[in-house]
Amino acid sequence: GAIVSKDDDYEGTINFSLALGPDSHHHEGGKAFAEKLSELTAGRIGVKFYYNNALGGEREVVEGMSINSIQMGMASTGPMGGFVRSFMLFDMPYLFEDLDHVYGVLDGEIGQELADEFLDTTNVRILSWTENGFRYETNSKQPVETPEDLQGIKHRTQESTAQIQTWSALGTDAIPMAWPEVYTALQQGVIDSQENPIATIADVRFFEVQDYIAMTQHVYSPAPMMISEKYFQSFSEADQQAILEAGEYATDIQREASAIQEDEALQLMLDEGMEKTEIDRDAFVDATRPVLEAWQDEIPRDLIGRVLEEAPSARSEEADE
Amino acid sequence: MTAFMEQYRRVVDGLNLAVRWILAALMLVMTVLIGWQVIARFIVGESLTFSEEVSRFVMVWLVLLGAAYAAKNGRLMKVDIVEHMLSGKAKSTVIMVAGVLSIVFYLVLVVFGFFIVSAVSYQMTPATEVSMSIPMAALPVGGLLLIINTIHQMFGVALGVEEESEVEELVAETEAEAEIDATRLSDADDADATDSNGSQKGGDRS
Amino acid sequence: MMILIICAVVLLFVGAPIAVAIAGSTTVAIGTSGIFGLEVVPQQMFIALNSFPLMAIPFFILAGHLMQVGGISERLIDFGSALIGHLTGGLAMAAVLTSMFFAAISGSGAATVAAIGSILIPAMLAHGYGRGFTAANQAVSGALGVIIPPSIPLILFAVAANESAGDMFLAGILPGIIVTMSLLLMAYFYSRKRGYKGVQKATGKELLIAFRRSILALLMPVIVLGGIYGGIFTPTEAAVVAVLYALIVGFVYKRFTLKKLADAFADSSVTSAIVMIVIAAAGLFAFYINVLGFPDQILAFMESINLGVVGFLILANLLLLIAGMFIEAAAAILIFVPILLPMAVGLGIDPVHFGMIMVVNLSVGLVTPPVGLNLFVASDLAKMSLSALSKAVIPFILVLLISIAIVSGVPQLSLWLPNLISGG
Ligand code: NA
Ligand code: NA
Repeated sequence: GAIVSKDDDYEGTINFSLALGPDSHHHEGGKAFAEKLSELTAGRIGVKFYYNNALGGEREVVEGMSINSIQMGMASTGPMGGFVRSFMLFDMPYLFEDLDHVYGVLDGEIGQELADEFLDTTNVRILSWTENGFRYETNSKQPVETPEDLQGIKHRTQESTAQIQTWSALGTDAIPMAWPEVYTALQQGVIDSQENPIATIADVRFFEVQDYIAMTQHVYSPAPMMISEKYFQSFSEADQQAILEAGEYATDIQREASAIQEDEALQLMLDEGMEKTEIDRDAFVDATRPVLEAWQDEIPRDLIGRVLEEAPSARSEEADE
Repeated sequence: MTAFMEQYRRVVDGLNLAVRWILAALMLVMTVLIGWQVIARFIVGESLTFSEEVSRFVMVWLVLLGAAYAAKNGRLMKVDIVEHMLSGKAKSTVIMVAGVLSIVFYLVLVVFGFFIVSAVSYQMTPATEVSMSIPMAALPVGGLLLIINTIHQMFGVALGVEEESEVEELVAETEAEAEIDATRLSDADDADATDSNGSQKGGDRS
Repeated sequence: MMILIICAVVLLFVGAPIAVAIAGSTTVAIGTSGIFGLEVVPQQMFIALNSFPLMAIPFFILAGHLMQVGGISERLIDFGSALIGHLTGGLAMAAVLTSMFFAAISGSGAATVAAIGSILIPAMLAHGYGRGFTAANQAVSGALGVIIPPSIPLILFAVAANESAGDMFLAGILPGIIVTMSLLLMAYFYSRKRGYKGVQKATGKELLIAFRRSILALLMPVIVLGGIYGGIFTPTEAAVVAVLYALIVGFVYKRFTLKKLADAFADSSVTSAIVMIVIAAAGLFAFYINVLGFPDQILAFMESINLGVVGFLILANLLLLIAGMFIEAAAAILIFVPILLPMAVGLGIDPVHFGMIMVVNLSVGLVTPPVGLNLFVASDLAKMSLSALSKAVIPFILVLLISIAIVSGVPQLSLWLPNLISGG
């Protein structure tokens, strides 16, 4: 159906697709958005959440928003590189040093540039750079401190060339595998190792089949809050402003929830008997640098170089000179 | 009109022969890719990066083309009580109505399938980095073949041509196989020929 | 929702394909609601099919087909007959037992009836078994094809319910044995009453030869299930291993010609497509009712009437039995999982157990008129009318109903093996 423009006093509900379940940090961000929107519109516009990919996986939800079959959603940037090449940026290993670096980039010029490009290409508007957070490696073989500890380990990756290159560079047998097969494959020893944000690892109970977690933080994974542009444009000017403001409002709340839940999930995994190791970060950075270099020209507008320039250490070096 | 319908069915039969070969090839590709993936992991210790994605897309094509192929003989799963209860003109009318309604739906697949194929054309698939339109084109193409074959089936009903059902085909095939098999129970076969109870449905084949 | 149901009933009634009935009625509902554009129709159908775990279906269909072309059914039958053929009702029990062996290779019920029945139905008739009993016994034994792993309905449930196909396979083993035992008892007592004698007892040497001749076929389930639980491959990959194994067996038995192989690949594609186009349609349907928030509404409704576990199970069993009369098992799984599973889980029923309940119920649908694929195949093989066979099958259905009650009432039957082996 054709979308009819909504009046100033439109009353209705926005369908919002979540990849995770109720009370996840995604949902916390979504709730913050919903509360602020309700406040700004005097309760006229509500939000209905669909949990655990009930409306489709991450790629499907983004595609759904681009054809307006799904109105709003939060999805990790994993599948977004297929829509807009620049988003391959978020598959790059050791691009970000820490969260200050991340937030500086996403809330600054580069974040805006990426959002604009995404809107132009896909007709999906990024309202807020909410997140999944850093990703960590777990395995059933041995504690991991240096890339040498990963030699010959059978490691599951998503179907992404950059990820396969990264984990090959780190010495594993990188095995791309569909998500629905991963738990069983870990359990049965078809694969030994996987990587994900900590909250996800706890959510799908990988601690039942994995013994070691390494604080690798090899990749930072945003999970932007998005809205179908066609749907967005159907609102009145004032309601559009309210949606934008609510999205902005949700950003910090979701990031805080993400940090809290990461801590809680990590504690849960330790309680369940997993062993945690800190890594020799420099060794991991050195091992994966060739992957970054290989992609330098593949990702448009020297995004890799520009992100690296904004690293806290690069800045302090600048200041030292 | 009769001549036209017969001519149409001949042409479409030829088309479906080609589709049948494509179907066999698609199944072979899936087997080779995933078989290779398993073997590669255990013998070579390497993984294929594209086998899963390619075989998934091959499967989507296989399903749409295979369903269209099955539609030619009216073999798609259906509830055919009414069809069984009726005979003659009433029966063919019901089949025609079902055919027309199905074609209306297949048209939606073709038209909106074409829209979605264009809408996703800029999207690249994760592993092979080809356009997402390639796997999605299975929907409109399959829809088109479904229309062509449903018309084929309807012409068959109009011309009074009996199609072999899935069950009859399965039975004919296994009976032919069973005849080749020399088993220690084979002494039983002769006796069966003298037994003439029951209907003769499908009994004239072997 | 109302318009969707009306359209679906009309389409089913006139005999449109089930896929068209599901997807077409959903399309009408989407079109009239104006929530979103019809692009969602092909998009969701694509998404439903674009799933790696589903690939087990074409592979298991192909493996079963190749095994059959490769000449294994008569080897299994020889073995089954040598084992129990000499007892009272020996051939009837051999049909049950051999169907169980074949079920461990094939994922489909009709294929099991055809493969075993094409040899044993003529043999039983020649040995004086009644035509109705012979055909009904074979049709019902074929139901084992979908209960004993590998099984297409079990895979479909796993995909629709987001459960592990490996766990579902394990769950099917004991219920499959229960149904086998009850059918063996049925065959024995019926034959004793009618005086159906056994065939000549096989000597130890004959038995050994029959076993050796069928060993490659009997090993297939061991390799497939062992491979999954030995951590060698995932359930989906196990299906392709089954294909490779069937190819090797066929070459060892020297039964393949290029023509037979090409036909097997093409025919398996078509058979897979017939099942899977319904998956595509059901995917669109599930998306639409999810957007409507339908599962939540049902859940709220269930809570409001406070049915309790037993009441719910009885209702669900009845619903599935009735649905199975008209709709093929694969289609019924896809339609009812999004509706029934949230209720079952809400009541604390283990999803794997509920999956078994669904599959066992729907397996009965294979032998109930008016739409029962196993009945069609058996009536064709036994050359008897469908209506006569429909009457003959009634006592067998009663036996199956008892088995259903056991599977429903004793969750451990379904859950013990998955818990033991995969700890999940
Ligand atoms: Na089976
Ligand atoms: Na039935």
